[in-house]
Amino acid sequence: MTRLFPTYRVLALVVGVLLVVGALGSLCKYLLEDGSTLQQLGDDLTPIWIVHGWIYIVYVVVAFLLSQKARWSLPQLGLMLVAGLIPGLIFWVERRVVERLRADHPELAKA
Amino acid sequence: MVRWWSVRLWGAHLLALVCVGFAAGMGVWQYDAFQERRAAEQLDLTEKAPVPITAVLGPDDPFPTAGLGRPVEVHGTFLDAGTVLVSDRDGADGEAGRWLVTPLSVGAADQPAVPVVRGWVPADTTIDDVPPPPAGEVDLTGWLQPTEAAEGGDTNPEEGVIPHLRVADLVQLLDGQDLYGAYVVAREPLAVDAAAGVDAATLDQLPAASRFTGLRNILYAIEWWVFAAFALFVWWRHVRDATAEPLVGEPAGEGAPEGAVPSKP
Repeated sequence: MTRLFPTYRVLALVVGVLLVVGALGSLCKYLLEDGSTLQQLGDDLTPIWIVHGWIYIVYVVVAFLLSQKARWSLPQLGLMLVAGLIPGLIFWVERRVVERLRADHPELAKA
Repeated sequence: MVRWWSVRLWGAHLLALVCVGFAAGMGVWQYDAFQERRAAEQLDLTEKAPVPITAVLGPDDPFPTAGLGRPVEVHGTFLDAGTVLVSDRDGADGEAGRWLVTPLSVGAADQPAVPVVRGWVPADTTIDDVPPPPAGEVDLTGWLQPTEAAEGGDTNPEEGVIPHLRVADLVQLLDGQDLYGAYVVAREPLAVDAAAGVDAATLDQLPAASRFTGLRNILYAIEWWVFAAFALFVWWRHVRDATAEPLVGEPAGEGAPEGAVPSKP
C-alpha cells in the first residue's frame, strides 16, 4: 500500500512551518533597524530558504503523484503547489486535501 | 477528439510557457550571481594604484565586484566613540590577536563613515588598552573589504569586542552616523598607533572566506531549473492525456487522469 498520503501530510507540515519561520525571519531582517537583536536573528535565519526550497521540490513531486492517484483536476494541484509558497495557506489546504481524499478515495486515505 | 493545437489547450500551452520561461530565467539569474561571486573571489586587485574611496563606492551603494581588496585613499576624521576590537584575527605566525577598528568619517566629521582597521594587537589587549585615534583630519590608504556576515552570535561578552567586522554592529555605537557597507584595512598603522605598539593588519588575517553565499546561489539556480523541468513535465502529461483517444469501455471524457474529472469537495 502506498505511503503517499502520510508522506504528503508530513511534508505539508514541514514546508508550512519552514515557510512561516522563513517569512518571519525575512520580515525581521528587512523591516527592523539594522543591528537590533531581532534583525540579526532574521539575518541568521536566511539559510531556511534553501532548506525550504529543496523540501518544497519533494513536496511538489509528492503532491503531483497524489493528485494523479486521486485523479484531481489541474487547478486542485495548482492550489496544493501554491500553498507551499504563501505563508500559512498550506495548513488550510492540507486539511482540505485530507477531507477531500477521505471523501473521494477512502482507500488512499487509510495507511 | 482534442488535438494538441486545439483552442482548448491554448491556455495550458501559454501557462506552461510562462512557468517554464520564468523558472528558467530565475535559474539563469542565480547562476549569473554565482559566477559573479566566484569571479570576485578570484580577482586580486590589492596591488593596484590607490583611488579615492568615493570613486569606488558611495555610502549607500552595495559592495561592487571591482572593489574587493582594492587599495583606496580615505581622508577624514576618526570617530573614537566607534572604536572596537574584532576578535579571532590570527597574526602572521598564527598567534592569537585582534583588530583595532575605528570608523573614519569620509570628509567632514558628520559625513558617512567607513570603519578602518587601524592595526593588529595581541589577543589579551582590551578596549581600555588601545591608543586613542589621532585627532583632526588624517589621510590613509588601505584595502577595501565588504562588511562581514554574522556567522553565529556574539559569544564573547567582553566590552568593546565583536566577533565580526559587521557594519550593522558599529551603527549602534555611533548615534545616527551613516556608515558605508564596507571597511578599509589600513596598509600601514598610523604613526601614533605604531608608536603604541600596534602592528599592521593584513588581509591574511581575515577568517577563511565562507563559500556559503556562492553555494546558496548555485543551489537556488538548480532549484529553479528543477521547477522548470517539472512544469514542462506536467504540461506534457496534461497535453498527452487531453489528446489521448478515450479508452474502450470508458465513457468519453473520463480517460484523462487529470483535468477531466473534477471531483466535488
